Amino acid sequence: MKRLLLQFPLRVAIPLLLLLLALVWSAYALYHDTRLEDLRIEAASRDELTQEMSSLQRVIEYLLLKGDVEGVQLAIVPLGSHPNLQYALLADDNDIIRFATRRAWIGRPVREVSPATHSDSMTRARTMLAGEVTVAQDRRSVLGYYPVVLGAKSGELRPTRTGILFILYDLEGPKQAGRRVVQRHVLQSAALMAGLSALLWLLSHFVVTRRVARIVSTAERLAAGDRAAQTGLHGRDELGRIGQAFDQMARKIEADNGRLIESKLRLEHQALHDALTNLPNRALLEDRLQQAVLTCARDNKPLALLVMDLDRFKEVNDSLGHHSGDQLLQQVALRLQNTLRKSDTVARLGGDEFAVLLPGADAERAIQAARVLITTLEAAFHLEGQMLDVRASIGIALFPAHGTDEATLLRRADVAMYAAKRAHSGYALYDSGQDQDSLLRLTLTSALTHAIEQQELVLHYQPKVAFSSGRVVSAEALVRWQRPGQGLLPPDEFIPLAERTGLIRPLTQFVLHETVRQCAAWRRAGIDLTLAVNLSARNLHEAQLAEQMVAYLEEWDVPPACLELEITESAIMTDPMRALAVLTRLDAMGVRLAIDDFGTGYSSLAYLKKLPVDTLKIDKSFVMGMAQDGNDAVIVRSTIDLAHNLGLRVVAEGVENQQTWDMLDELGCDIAQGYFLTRPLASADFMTWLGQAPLTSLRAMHSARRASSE
Amino acid sequence: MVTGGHIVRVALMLGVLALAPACAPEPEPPLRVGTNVWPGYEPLYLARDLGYLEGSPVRLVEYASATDVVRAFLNHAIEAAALTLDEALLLADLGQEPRVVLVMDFSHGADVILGHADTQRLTDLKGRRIGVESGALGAYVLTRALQQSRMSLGEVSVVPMPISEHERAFLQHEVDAVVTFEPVRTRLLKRGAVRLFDSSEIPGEIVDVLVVRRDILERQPEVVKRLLRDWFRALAYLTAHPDDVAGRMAPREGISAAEFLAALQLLRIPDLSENRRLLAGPQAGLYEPLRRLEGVMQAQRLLARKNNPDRLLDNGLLDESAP
Repeated sequence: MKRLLLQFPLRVAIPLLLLLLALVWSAYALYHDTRLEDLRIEAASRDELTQEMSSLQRVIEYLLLKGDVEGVQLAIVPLGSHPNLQYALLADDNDIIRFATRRAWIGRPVREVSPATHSDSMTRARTMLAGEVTVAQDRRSVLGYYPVVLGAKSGELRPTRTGILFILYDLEGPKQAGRRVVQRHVLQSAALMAGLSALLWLLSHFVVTRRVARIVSTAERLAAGDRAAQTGLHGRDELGRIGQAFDQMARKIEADNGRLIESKLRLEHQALHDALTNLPNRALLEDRLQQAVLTCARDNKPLALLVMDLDRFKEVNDSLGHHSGDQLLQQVALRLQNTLRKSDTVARLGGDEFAVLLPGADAERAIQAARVLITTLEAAFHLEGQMLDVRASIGIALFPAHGTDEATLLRRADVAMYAAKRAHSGYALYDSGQDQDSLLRLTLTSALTHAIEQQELVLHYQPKVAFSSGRVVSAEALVRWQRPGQGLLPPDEFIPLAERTGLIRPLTQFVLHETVRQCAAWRRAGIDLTLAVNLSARNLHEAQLAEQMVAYLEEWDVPPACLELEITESAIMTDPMRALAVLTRLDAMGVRLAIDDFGTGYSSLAYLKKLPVDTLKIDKSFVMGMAQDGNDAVIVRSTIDLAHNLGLRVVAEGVENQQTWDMLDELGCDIAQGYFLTRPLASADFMTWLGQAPLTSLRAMHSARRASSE
Repeated sequence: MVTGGHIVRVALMLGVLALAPACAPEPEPPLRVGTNVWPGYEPLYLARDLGYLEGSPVRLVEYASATDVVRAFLNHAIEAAALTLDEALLLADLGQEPRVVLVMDFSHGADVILGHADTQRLTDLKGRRIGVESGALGAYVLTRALQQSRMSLGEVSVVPMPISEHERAFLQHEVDAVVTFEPVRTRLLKRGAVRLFDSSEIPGEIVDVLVVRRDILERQPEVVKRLLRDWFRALAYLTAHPDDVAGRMAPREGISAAEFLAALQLLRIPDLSENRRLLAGPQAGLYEPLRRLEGVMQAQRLLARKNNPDRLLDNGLLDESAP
């Protein structure tokens, strides 16, 4: 039903439904009222006949008692004029008609002339002496049977002769009249309903249908893009409110649309431009490069792509902070833009890498442009009051000589740029030989990934010995790469690579885990040592580093105090605030913290005071040089004093001979580390070393010194 | 939010509300009580006169003769009737289902056979014409009177006539005697009629009762109960104010107040407790007269079948009929 209704628009469905309702109602009323009317007529006729015959019965009995035959005739004959009476007759006890409304019937047996008369009913009326009025089976007539006592026979106290008064009433006539009345009534009410339906439809047309149509057409217009479409409906009823809500929505859509377009443009710009320098980004450069390749291929013209990288930019960032680094990049961008023509594209590829697209440029022009760029950057940059010299390395790839698609061109310009950097030549044109280096780098990266997975990395441990006791108090874990067929690789050769490629994270995890595991193993063997691990500046940006560490410590049941983390001073100064936050968190966990390579960075004393570190490690360059160089000795001495004043322990790295050892001991240094004691050892060798002479001799030496100084 | 189910419920409620007027109780159909003129029935009219029947569906239908009452009962024109016990038996004999709910009075001299001055006793009526309402009590009275005088029906000439004609027919000597009753008795005695027989000679046999159709008794018991209560209230009033009652009722009977009171003396009107005794239980006092009556009537071929008269009695309503 619902589905059927939904097939039609409201303006059809409503009147249709009303019409249907009126029709159904009329049909029902016609049927019902006709039936009621029939029943009413039957009942009324029966009642009338009962009354009529009851009185007639007594009158006739009386008249017969009197022997007044004419009287009986007078009582019966006028019945003939009754509109619904078909006939009336009085039969005697032998069923012979004595009186009737039809003269011809007198003297004839009842059943001959009146087949409607039921002999059962006549018998019943006689024996029960009671009248009976019934509706015929076909309900077209009413039949009345009334006993009439005809008078006693002689010698009979109570009369037994009983005649029958029979009257047949027609029901068809009155029923038809009644039906006509009913039909008229139903017709009238149907007409009334139809009128009301029309009125209702009219009403719904103006209140509902027309307004719904307005909403529908407005919605369609809006959907078709007419954003000014409004229903303009009024009123506080549901449709009025829908219309108003719709209008409001349409207005809001239009307003929102303006904002959307604006923000879309902004987003598009953001997507294709570098936020810092507002130069086109890599994506846009690639797009333009692709376009340019197509154009130049069509026009048979050359094209040059320059990729430029700032030398030592990392140092600027590390020493002066990101903010200064950013400023430098902005200034570089500005200079590049000012140098080039409008038709050339300058883009920032990321980090300190820039690219310049020179359509139509051949090798000669490209080299010329590279030189101009280098010259432009040679003038010192002013950063927050500091003068800064910046050198750049530029790689040049040419279309179509070096590549015919943008990916190849970019890659080759990059390769050329690395070649220029290695050669300190400022710029370099791509040469297929350069690819080897770059390939090596790629190989190393994948090999390192492989190494971490295949556990080709091993840890070596270098002991730290306390001056006061001569005992090994701690050891620094140092990672080594055991490359199959290539021997042991020192960290200097792959740590920077790991840092650049993001492999530093799994690498650090591996080292941490291995160190904790080793620590646990030694503790079980009764050797209670603090093991130190180096953290990179990149590690400080890992949110889950601390959690990871806790997990390892718990896994191996190692107290946090057995773990020491060494972070270089320059790593801390890369992002001092973050470093402070991370170190504070690590300190709260209970692990020990040490500043590594102290003296090479630019940390301020005030800042140093805030850091929750336990230990300073003096950079080995100062320690190794202190025996020969007075300046270094002074630095070492003041560093030790400084550390002690701040309540920190001091570790001297790079202790390589007795002389240095003695000097440091003299200066009150706490702990020594270096080849003088031993080089870093694999864990098994470390165990052996622990139990051997050097240590004992150290102790002896130590006691000797103490004794002599006393 | 209006759900579909909710709408259906509301529609149903509206439908029920629309139907409610159709559920209003139908008006109680009338309880028509047929009577003929007889002093023993007057308390019914007294009750109506005193306004006891107001608000009750009881309607008194005043017929000219007991025969009319019987015919009306047969024709279902009335639901209840005041008539004599023999008439009640006759109705049952004809297949009706009358139930005696009240004994209204015993006739103790009010039913008579009157003759002209030339007759002194019943035997004087041999070969004479006797006017009798043969469709009703008259037949029984005549039969009993003839029995007592050891006469047979064949020895007299029976002229059937309704009570309404008795006075005229007698005075005009169309008949030599009439089997009649009050108030015709009083009027004819005043005109010199001679009493040949009266109901005091067959005491307890002529009993006036109120019968109600069985189905009506089942359908409208409250109406009948109330009618009985009104009857006993009227009786109480009659006892308390006989003169007032006579003044009210005598004109209906066509006799003087004094004559009315005298006529009442020929009746014995049982009170509520006697009624209970007469109608209640297996030892009901009315069984004996009923059985005798039936025997007589069968012997005289006034009844066609053998009935079980016990079924005629119904005292179920009397207990609650104290006024």
